[in-house]
Amino acid sequence: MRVSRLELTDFRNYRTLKFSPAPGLNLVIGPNAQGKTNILESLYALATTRSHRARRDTDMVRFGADAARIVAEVTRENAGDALLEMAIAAPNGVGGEKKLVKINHGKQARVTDLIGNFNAVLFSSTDIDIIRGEPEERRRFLNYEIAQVSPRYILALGAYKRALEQRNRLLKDVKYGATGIESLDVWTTQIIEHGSKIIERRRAYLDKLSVHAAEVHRDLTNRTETLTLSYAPSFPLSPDTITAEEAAITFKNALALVRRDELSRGSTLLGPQRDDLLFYVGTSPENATDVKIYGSQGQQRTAALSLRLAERRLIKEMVGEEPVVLLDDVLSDLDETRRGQIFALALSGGQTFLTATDVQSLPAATVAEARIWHVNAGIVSDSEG
Amino acid sequence: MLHYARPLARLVAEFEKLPGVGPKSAQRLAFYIMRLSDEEARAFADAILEVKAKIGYCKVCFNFTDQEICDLCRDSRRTDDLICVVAEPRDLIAMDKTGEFKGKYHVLGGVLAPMEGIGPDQLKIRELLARLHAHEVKEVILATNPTVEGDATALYLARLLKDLTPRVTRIAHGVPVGGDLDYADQATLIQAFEGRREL
Ligand SMILES: [Zn+2]
Repeated sequence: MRVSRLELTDFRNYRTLKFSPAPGLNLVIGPNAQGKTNILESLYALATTRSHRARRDTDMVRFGADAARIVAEVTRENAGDALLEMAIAAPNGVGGEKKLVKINHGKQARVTDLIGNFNAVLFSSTDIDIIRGEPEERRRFLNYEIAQVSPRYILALGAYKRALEQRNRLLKDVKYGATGIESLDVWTTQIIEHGSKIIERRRAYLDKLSVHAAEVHRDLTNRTETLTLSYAPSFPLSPDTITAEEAAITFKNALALVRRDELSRGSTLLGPQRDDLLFYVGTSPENATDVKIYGSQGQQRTAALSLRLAERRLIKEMVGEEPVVLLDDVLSDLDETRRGQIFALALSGGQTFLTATDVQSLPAATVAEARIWHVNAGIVSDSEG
Repeated sequence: MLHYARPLARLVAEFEKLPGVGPKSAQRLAFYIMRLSDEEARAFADAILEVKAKIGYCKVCFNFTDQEICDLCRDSRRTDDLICVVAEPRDLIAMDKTGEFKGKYHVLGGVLAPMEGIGPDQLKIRELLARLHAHEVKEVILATNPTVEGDATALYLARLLKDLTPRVTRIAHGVPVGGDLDYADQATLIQAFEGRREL
């Protein structure tokens, strides 16, 4: 799939931006903080419904504007072309965030209706934090990437978050004697219901992703290293636990065991909000160790790259089409070998957007194949290179 | 920055307190009011005061009414065998527009939400239990919104009512997940009634 036209209105530093990307490699060139990443952010938001870097989606609205708008024409091989529109309202002090979408000029739809129309994989220089950062980074990774292929996952996440907040508040109130315990059970049921759906989908996604990650990683390291992904939920989950119903039973039993602790601490102690994801690297699966703790920085970077490449392959497997590849500022911290791998990826056929500060730092062969866009102060201009 | 004369600023500030009204809309509404004739303005102000003075809660179902017991509760064509439990008066109105339901209602006055300080004691649950004790009811239909809070409330009631009434059901289908009954269209609500399931 590819984006044949992109229009941004009041998005970040763009008042209006209209451009028609090339089917292959698009180089987005310009000094830092001029709006290169914003273009990639808008495309990623169409794939996942959220900004990959803003704390609130409303940060995507240009300062002083009422709403940001992203309009993209997407050309797909398996399905018809689609015109995707997403509007993000500025915070107006009343109510929460508001995002609206339209597909093919249809009625206003819910934001989750975007899912299934467009896919993108974003490679970023901060990807290494997925490997070496806090568990929160890894949960974020899972949330964005599963959301991209499952609208039901987005709904489960939203419901879970809400139920968890209510339950935590209740536990806290009970702890301080501000309220009774009689409604605790129904909030427990709520977090189990929605949490077990999240667990089911995370496990299923990781099972598929780890197959691709292992293959990709072997290729990237000239068959010298293996990479294994392992889901680490907050309570023991047997390998036979596959369905949400099975996960719900385990989750329920685990919560019963910590009930007393939860009451004395005034907070929910188990659930998807405490999940983690482990990466093992070694010369063989038998001697692989946790790369977060024992890996060199080089190994961590390679593992991060493997993860994104695996994601790209998994999306292709799931939706039957190559996702758009977004390469955001990925070159600066890489050695020659890995830079070479990135350039190979950039020219591997599908539509790719690569941001860089200048063309000179890129191999002539890459530049020759690319369409070049110069970005300066929120203005994008076409150039012959 | 330009400042309004004090009376106008006061009116703008009052409009801004209304749900869904931002500064720009508040200003537009205030300017609209300024252009009204004296009679029109007085009628508007009177309507607000009259609502406050005369509208209260029905002693039976806790719907809004200007009487002690509301029209719906006094309507003899409606059966006492069925009670449909809703969170807010506006949900009752949405539900009753369908014309499909011939029983009585009970308005909880909200849903369980610890973050807003709402527990079972803040809802009209004790009053619902009293109704079930006073009259035999064949079925209680829980029609809270299918949000996390609405579901938790329905579940709480279902457990509580289990031994007090032969049948407790929850409207199930059609209403979009995370949606409000308020905004659901009528066909959806009819379908929701037909598709209710046992809890
Ligand atoms: Zn009444």
